[in-house]
Amino acid sequence: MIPFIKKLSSKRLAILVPIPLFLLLWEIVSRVGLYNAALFPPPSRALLALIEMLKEGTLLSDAFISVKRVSIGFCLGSFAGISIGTLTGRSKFFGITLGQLIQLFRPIPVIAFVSLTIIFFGLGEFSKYFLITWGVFFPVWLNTDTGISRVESSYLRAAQSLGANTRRLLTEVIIPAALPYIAAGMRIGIAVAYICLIVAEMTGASEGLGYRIEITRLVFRIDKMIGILAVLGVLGAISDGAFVWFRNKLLPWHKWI
Amino acid sequence: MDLKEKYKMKGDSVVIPKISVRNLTVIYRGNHDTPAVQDFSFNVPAGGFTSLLGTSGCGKSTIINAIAGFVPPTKGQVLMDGNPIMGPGPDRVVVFQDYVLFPWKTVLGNVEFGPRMSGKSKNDCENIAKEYIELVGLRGYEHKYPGELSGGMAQRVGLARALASEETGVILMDEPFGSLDAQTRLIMQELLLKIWEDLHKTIVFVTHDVDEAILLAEEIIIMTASPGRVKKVIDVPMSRPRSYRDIASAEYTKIKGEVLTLIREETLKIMDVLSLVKE
Repeated sequence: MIPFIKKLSSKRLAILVPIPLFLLLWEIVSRVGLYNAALFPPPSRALLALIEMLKEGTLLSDAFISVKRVSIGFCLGSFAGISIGTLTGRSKFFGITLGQLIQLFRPIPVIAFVSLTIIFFGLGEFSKYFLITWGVFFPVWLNTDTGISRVESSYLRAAQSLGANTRRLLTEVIIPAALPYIAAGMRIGIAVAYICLIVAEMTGASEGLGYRIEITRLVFRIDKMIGILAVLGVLGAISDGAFVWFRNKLLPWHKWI
Repeated sequence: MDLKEKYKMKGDSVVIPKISVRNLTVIYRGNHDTPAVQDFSFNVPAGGFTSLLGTSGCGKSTIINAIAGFVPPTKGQVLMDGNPIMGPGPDRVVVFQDYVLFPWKTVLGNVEFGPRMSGKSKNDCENIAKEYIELVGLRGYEHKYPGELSGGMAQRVGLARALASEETGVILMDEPFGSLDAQTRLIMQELLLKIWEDLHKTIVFVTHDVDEAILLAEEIIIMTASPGRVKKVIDVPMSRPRSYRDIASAEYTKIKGEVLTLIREETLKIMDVLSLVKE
C-alpha cells in the first residue's frame, strides 16, 4: 500500500485526479438539491441513461452513423483542402483567382449554410457529408496553402542543384516540407468536422448523436442529453489522439522543424 | 610550363577551364545603384581548388549563386566547360553554410537524393549513398534524421550528398564550415582536403576565414568590399598533401601576412564608409 502511494508522483496525480474530482463535485452539487435534479442530473444518472440507450440499441447505431459521417466528410474535406491548397499555394494565378473566391466563402459560418444545403440536397446523407466536407475544407486549405507557398527557397535551390525537375520538386520537396502545416490544418479540421456534424444532425436528420440530442430535448431527458454530450467529448478526444499518434508515426521528424 | 600557366597567359584557347566567370556583374532587383559584384573574372581549371575570400557583404555568395545557376548574370558570362550556365543542375552541386539538409528525409534519404534524381535504380542509389556516407565517417547514422545530428555531422551529410551526385564535377561551397566551432571546422577542413585530393573534383570555396582559404586552396581570389571586384589573385604553392601542421610553416606565414594586409585594406574601406554615414 505504502509503495503504491509513493509511486504516485505529483505528475501522476495531476493526470489522474482532475476528471474524477470534477465528476465527484458535480455529483455532490447535483444531489444536494440546490437545483431541479431533472434539469441538472448528476453524472451517475447520465451514466445510467447511457446504459439505457445502449440497451435500447440507439446509442451504438447513433454513434456509428455519426462517426461514419464525420469520417467521410473529414476525408473528403481534407482531400479537397490539400489538393486545392497545393494548387493555390504553388501557382500565382490560382492563388489569386481561386484564392480570393475561397476567402469570400471562408468567413460565412457553416450553420448559415444548413437551410440552403437542405433546399439544394434534401434531407439525405449527402447533405451531411456536404456540410462536414465544406467545414473541414477551409482550415485544411488555408494551412496547406500557407505551407506550400512558404517552403524555404533554400530547399528548392538544394533540390534543383541536385537535379530535381519540376515534378520531383513538388513530390520530394514542396509537399513534404508543407506536411507539418497540412497536419496542423487537418487537426483543426477534426474539431470542425464534429461541429458541422452536430449542426447537420440537429436540423433535418433522423439518426445520429446530434439528432438524439434534439430528441432528448423534446422529451425532456436531460440525463440522456448529458450522456450523449459525454460520448461526443470522448469521441472527439479519441479522434484527436489517434490523429496525433498517426502524425507522429508518419512524420517522426516534425518535432525538429 | 604547366597547363595552368598556359591558359592564364593565352586565355582559354588552349585549355578550356572547368569554370570561367567573365566580366560578371550582378545587380539585384530593387537595388539599381550598387551591384553585388562588378566586372568579375576568374577561371577555375578542372580539378582546381579556388577560394573566394572577402569581407562580409562583398558578394562572395552571389558569385557562387551565379555559378550554381540560381542567379542570372546581369552582365557578363558564367561558363562551364565553355558553355554558358543556364540554371541549376547536378553537374554543379552546392554545399550550403546552413547545410540545407531535407529534414523530412533520413541521412540515407538525403544522400541518395542526387542519384535518385538522375534515375538510377533503387539499389544503385542506396549503394552509392552508403559509399559516401562511409567516406564522411557517418556509417551507422543512415537512418537518423538531420534534426538528430550535430552541426559537424550535418555538414558531413551535406558534403556526402553533394559527392553522391556523381555527375558532379564541380562542388560549390558557400562558407560551408562557417557555423561550426573551431575544432570541428579544422577536422572538416582536413576531411575536405583528403576528399579533394582523392576524388579530383573542382571546388569553388567561399570563405571569410584567411586560414581556411590558405590551408585549402590552390588559388585565392581576394575580393574588394562592396561592390565585389577582384582585388588580387594569390597562388598558394604549398605542397600536397597538406595538413593542419602546415599552418605553422614559414611559407604559410608569408602568404598569410600578404593576404591579411589585403583583406584589412578592404575591411577599413567599409569602416570608413560607415563613419561617413554617421556624420
